[in-house]
Amino acid sequence: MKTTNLIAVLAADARPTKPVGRSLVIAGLSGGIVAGLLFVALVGVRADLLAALANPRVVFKFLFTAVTAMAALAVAARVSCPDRAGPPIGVLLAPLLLLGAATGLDMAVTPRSSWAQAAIGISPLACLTMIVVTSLLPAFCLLWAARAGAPRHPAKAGAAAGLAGGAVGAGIFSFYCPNDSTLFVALWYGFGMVLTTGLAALVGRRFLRW
Amino acid sequence: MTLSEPDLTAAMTAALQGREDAYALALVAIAALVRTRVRRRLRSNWADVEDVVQETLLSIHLKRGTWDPSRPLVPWVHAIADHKLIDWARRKGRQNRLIADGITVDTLVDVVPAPEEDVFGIDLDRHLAVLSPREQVVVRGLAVEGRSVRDVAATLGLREGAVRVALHRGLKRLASAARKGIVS
Repeated sequence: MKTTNLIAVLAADARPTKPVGRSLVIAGLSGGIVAGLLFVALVGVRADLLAALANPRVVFKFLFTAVTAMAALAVAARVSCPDRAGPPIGVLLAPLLLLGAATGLDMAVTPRSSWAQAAIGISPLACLTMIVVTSLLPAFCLLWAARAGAPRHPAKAGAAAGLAGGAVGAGIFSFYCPNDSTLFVALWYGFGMVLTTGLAALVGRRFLRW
Repeated sequence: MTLSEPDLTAAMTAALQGREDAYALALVAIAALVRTRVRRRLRSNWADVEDVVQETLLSIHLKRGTWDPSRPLVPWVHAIADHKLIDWARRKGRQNRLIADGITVDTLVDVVPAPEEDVFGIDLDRHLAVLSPREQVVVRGLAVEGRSVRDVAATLGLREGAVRVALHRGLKRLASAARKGIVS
């Protein structure tokens, strides 16, 4: 094929093109909505959901997962562009600082003797599993959208998509989870998101190559 | 470059909105940019250079959503060209190691630079076989016979939209085959 012919073919495929960042946001939102509906239909929400929303610890779970999802999406959009230097790690400091401050505050108002119990909560391994499972669909949608990207490091793009998906999954799980201690959130929600991030990094390394 | 940088940026911005004519102009200028970049970095024959140029153009097409119109276009083009060049060199290195033991006159013929006027881009043709029959007809019709989408659609008895879908899928498949170095 002559290059001029190739150009003619490519031009014939012109079409309005969405920025990759917007595709990622759409994927995160739609994957999150479908996963949320499935979750409510299959698992349900906590019985005391309305009353619990008055508890700042519960509100924090939603706030923290939302901030993490937005920060991870920003990173994913950025590492998907080949002309950008490394990921803007600074953005990820926002959820980390938020989590650190809230955990410190919670520990300060909780007697030292109940820290261990707060950290372990009720069935932490079930929570961990549910967070990872709930994250699968949003993470998959995000990885799919990330295929429109041209990342210098496919594993990093996968990791960012996985962190966003993990945060969305953890946010959905917060409608159900009866463990409200911030210490619990930091440990088990954090662990769940780290697992999703690692898994998506492994997938991205192959799947997002271009 | 056949367009000034501001004109090229404007053309590419219009291309992202789906303007076919602006896109064709932009791609011609981008091809020239890429060729200069690759030639400077790859000491090889013309056919190899054009091979990388074509793979880069295909990637630029499929990844054009990663260019932000508020950012300069040329560094983005170079970033994609460099990525494809590294990819290409790795693949070639692998192939060369594979044939190093049994070099014959036939394999050497491939390495002899072709005269410039004969040079077609090349390798993408070898991958056309990975396309579905419809995709092949569409890509050949547009590329080799220089026909329009409407014309190809009429011949195949398809709607234009169906031809565009086949074209888009075919280009994606072509890019992936080229990247994996599939030779049919």
